[in-house]
Amino acid sequence: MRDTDLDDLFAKARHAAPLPSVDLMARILRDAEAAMPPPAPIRSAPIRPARLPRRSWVLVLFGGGGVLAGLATATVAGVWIGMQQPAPVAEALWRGDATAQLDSMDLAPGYELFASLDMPVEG
Amino acid sequence: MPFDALSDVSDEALVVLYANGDPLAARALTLRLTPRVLAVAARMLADRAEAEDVAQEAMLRLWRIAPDWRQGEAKVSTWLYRVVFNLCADRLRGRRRQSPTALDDAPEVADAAPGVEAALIEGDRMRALDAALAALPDRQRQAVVLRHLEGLSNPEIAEVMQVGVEAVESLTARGKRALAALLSGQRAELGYEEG
Repeated sequence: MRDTDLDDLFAKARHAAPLPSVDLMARILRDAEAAMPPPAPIRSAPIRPARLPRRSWVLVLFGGGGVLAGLATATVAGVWIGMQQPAPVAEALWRGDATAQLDSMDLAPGYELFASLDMPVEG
Repeated sequence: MPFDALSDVSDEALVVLYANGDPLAARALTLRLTPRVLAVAARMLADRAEAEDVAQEAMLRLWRIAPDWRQGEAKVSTWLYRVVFNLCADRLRGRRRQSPTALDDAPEVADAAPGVEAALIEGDRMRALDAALAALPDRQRQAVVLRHLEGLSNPEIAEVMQVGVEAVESLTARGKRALAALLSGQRAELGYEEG
């Protein structure tokens, strides 16, 4: 027999491959169902958070390590500004010479502001 | 999820889905793999009922190994072919134990061709081919079935049979030559013209 004849026979055999019966498919599907692992249970999140160590508890209280570091930096900066009173800060606050003696300072507007309201309106 | 949605999903992904409890994955795998498993088993055993049992057993082993399937190690189809060949080898060994002379008769059937002739008388080329395939040594038959009937590439066959590609080439070449020799005497009866 020639190779081409054999190839022809193989081609016919490929087309004539046995098809699974309905019964066989049903048996296999039954096996699949029986052997199928149960779906993994869905676990809810824990209601109470796990107990944190003391150090972590402090960090959580202040909003985390980053926030705590920012708070500490701001505190140190405030103390330093208060102690040193750099000139630009004093000028910005009192609009004057930082070296001049400060005698008094109005922290609230006076009644002069309201005097203009007593004047009659013309027109 | 519609069933069509799984048509593009790989075998391996379907095995993982099945292991996670997806019944549609089981159905998709069954429809996709059973015909191939059955075809190989039928060619190896030349017995429809036994081939169906082997196909069912091979698929059952797939279901059982699914939760422990190691992704990326072997293709699902390659693993299944290997299981089928092992199951078929067990059954063929059982046949030999039950009737030691049966195998000795097989080549003779092909040579002298009473089985093949009977098949030819019925005009059934497929049965003639099955009879000739049954006369081949197991390894040659496996290689020929995978190469010429299942259409696998030589590297794929090498992976299934766990041999080198050169060994596969040798097995398929020798198997094909043996088949040609077994069927040569019946060429005219098979409907192939002389010359």
